[in-house]
Amino acid sequence: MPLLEREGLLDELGTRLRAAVGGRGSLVLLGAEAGAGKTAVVTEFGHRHGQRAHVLFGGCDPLTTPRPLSPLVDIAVDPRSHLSATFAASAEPYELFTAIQRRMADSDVPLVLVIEDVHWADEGTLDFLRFIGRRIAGLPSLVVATYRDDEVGPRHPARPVIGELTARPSVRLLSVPPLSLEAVTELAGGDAARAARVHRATDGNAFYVTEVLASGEEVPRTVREAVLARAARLGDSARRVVEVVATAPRSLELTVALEVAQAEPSAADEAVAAGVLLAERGHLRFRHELARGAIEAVTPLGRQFAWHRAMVDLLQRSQPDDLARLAHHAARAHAWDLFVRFAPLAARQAAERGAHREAAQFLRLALEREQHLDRPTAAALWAELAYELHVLDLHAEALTASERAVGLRRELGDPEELALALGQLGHARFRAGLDDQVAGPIGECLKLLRDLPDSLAKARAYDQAAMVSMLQRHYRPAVAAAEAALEMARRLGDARLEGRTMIMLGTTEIVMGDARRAVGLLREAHGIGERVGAPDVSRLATWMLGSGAGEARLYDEAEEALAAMVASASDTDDDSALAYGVAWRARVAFERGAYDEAVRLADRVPPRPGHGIIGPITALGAKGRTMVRRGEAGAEEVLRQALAVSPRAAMQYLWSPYCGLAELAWLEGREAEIPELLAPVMPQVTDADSPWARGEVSLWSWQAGAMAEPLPGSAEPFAALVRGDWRRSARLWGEIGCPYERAFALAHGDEDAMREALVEFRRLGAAPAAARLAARMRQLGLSHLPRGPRRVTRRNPAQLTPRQVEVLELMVAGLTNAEIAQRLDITEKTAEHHVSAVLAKLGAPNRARAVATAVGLGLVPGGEDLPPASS
Amino acid sequence: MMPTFIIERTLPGAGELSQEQLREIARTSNRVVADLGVPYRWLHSYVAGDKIYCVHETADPDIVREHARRGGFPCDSVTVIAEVIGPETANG
Repeated sequence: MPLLEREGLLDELGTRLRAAVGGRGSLVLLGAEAGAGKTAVVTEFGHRHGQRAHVLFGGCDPLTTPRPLSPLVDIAVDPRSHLSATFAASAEPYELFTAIQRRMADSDVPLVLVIEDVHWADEGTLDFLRFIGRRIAGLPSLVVATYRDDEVGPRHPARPVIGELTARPSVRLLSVPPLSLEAVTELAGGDAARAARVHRATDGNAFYVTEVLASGEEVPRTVREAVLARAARLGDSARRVVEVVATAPRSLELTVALEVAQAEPSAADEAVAAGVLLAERGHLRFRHELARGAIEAVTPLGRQFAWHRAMVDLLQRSQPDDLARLAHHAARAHAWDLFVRFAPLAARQAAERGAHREAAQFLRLALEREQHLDRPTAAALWAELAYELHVLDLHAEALTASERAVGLRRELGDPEELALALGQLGHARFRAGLDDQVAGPIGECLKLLRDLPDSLAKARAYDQAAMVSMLQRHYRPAVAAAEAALEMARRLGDARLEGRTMIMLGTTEIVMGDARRAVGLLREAHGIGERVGAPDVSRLATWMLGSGAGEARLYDEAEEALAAMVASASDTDDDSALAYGVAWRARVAFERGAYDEAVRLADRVPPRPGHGIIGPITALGAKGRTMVRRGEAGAEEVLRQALAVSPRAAMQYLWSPYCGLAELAWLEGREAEIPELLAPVMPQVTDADSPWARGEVSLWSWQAGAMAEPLPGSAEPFAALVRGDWRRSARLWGEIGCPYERAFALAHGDEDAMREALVEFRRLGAAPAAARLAARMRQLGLSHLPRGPRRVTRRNPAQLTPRQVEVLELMVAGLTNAEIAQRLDITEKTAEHHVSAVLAKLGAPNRARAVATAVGLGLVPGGEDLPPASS
Repeated sequence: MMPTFIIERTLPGAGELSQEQLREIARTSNRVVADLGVPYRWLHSYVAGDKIYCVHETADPDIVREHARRGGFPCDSVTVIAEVIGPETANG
């Protein structure tokens, strides 16, 4: 069958391959309906360019639950990829991704990766596309991903990936058009009347056209009948082979097919000769998934069960490690007793590869058949499912799973397991924002543990309880549980658990106790993670050090850890760590008085439905508080947005935005409203042991005249001011590095202190605080108030947005639009748009003038050692 | 013992179907049941308004869905019947 009307597509792919050879790689998304001929195009492309590139094929399968990273596994198996050793050695998907990236960058012969049927892709493969799509522009490679565009609807998991990728200049969306009437006429041997009927009946779908023409009948009603017409001519034994091949997604090893069908090789030849099956590289497959579906639909269910059952028996002997495949056939055989054995193992295999969505799906399917599971297994699987759902941020479902695990553990009566399940339930409730319902299960968990002999399970339950208490900012129970777990982990010699429990202890100390000691503990835990090869432990230590040191206002430690957290999160595409890390950098910038930086960073973490909440709450809180201090319109709205992200979130996320509302009220002379504004978070703050939350809440309540003494346990810089010791407070804030808080303390002092505070507020651009203080000084009869620097030199006079300042800096550095786009991770068009906006605001006719103006106005640093700018 | 299922099918105008049309549907269903090759009993169905509620007996809800797929019948939900009760249940 000749390939018609595909030259345009093949030319485009050829052009992109040539550009890739020149170092400008791209990703092509090839979408079309089922049967349009996507595979034919990429196969032909592979034939044409096999000499100048290694064209490597991988495909996604329509399994009950997709096999994790199956296309990458296919590609790794091809010896030309030189990736099989990497795949055998690495468990972490991102290590695999970077290995592939390195291989693409270093290959002498350009690599072309063809990933077929992305509409069936597992989560890991979608992550890979996202990963490589972000990096392909700089690689001498081409990636072609095919998918059925009619099956990828708005709610399909591949949809956001495709949407995100198509915004990039190095990504091209192509489609395979239906065949024209002329093409169908040519295929019909010039029979115009027949061609017209076939074209009308098939809408030019290449597969339907081929099937219908080949069936030799007058246009059959459906393609199913066309396929069946071909199959109808087969003998018994060939028919069995066809039915067996239909049980397998995509393709089946020839030897397996013959053994299961109990057929001779001649039977396979017969099916191939009839055009029902294709044989290639030792595998049999249907010409199209539609054909496979047609055969499957007419095979009696009882026979299908038998074929699937025979596949399970054979695979158990020959490929016992391919658990996703075993689980698929066991499910299709309705052999539930076997399925519930394979699915949890397949889940663990998927989780190890980082494919948590698939892991959760296997567990869900197994638990749907709970009657085939013994109860201890079911309880363990519910707990595992809850864990996977946490990773996926699906908190409501995780809560249900945790409740089921606890229910079963209660019936079963093993106190150690019940304690562990209760600890997990406490955590699940915390994550779901049910902060007030955490104490019950955690209290019961700790009570059970007291009477139990030491064991690893007991240590894990203590670790779990410690984490929940730490997150809730309950110091004593957190320390007690973490120390118990740490002692046990050490005695039992489990280094990984030792690292984890040190993190819990360290985080508890850093946010509520001895912060300096805590930094050492967290660094040590990081080291343990590296030493025992547990990157998750090291990453958790960095996360806790970054956000914990931020909360404790140890800014140098915080910034170093947050930078490491953001860098590793970008490398691994871990979006939740990235969001939280950037949000905390915004919070730290706000507290240190770097307001432009705070807003710029906060804007990078917008709330997104279905994603984690703690990054956006923190970012919006920092932005809103910055706006309050600068007296910008809309500040209250941003703070309300922060609180609305998750109104029942824990105290540690909410107290700062609430204090922002109190501060705004104070600046606007609405002190009387402060107690009411703080009322929603007050019970949580007084229940928790967070010195920084207690301190700031005390400060604003005191300003409102609603509190005479600081809450016990308040952080000293706040407490000192409330006690009237403004000197001590100002000195402490100066040492910590919070200029606004320092000025705020000074504003409560003598005349000299007030003058210094006024200068400082003005330097910071904190207009409302400056105005309030100046008014008070006038009231006190103080004259000759210091003048602030002129507004024009303090703030950028051209009214550039933070993004435009970034663009301007890159223009000054001599970057072209394309380079700016790449640097800022935006499209070239968007970069162009920013550049013209900058030119307009600076009133500059060209780049050179804009750069000169910018440097002249001091909008951007330096200028002397820059290359001459071109216009 | 094999479970019994109640199946809800939405079929606009089901209550208005002629005897001829109902016979055609029943024939299709019987043929599909015969071709399934696994134990399967269609007990009876209630045709009411825009719905048909069917009672079938087989090993697994997936088989009920496969029956619907092969027959081209709608299938909104498949629920296992836990118990059948009636006025006499009050006496037990």
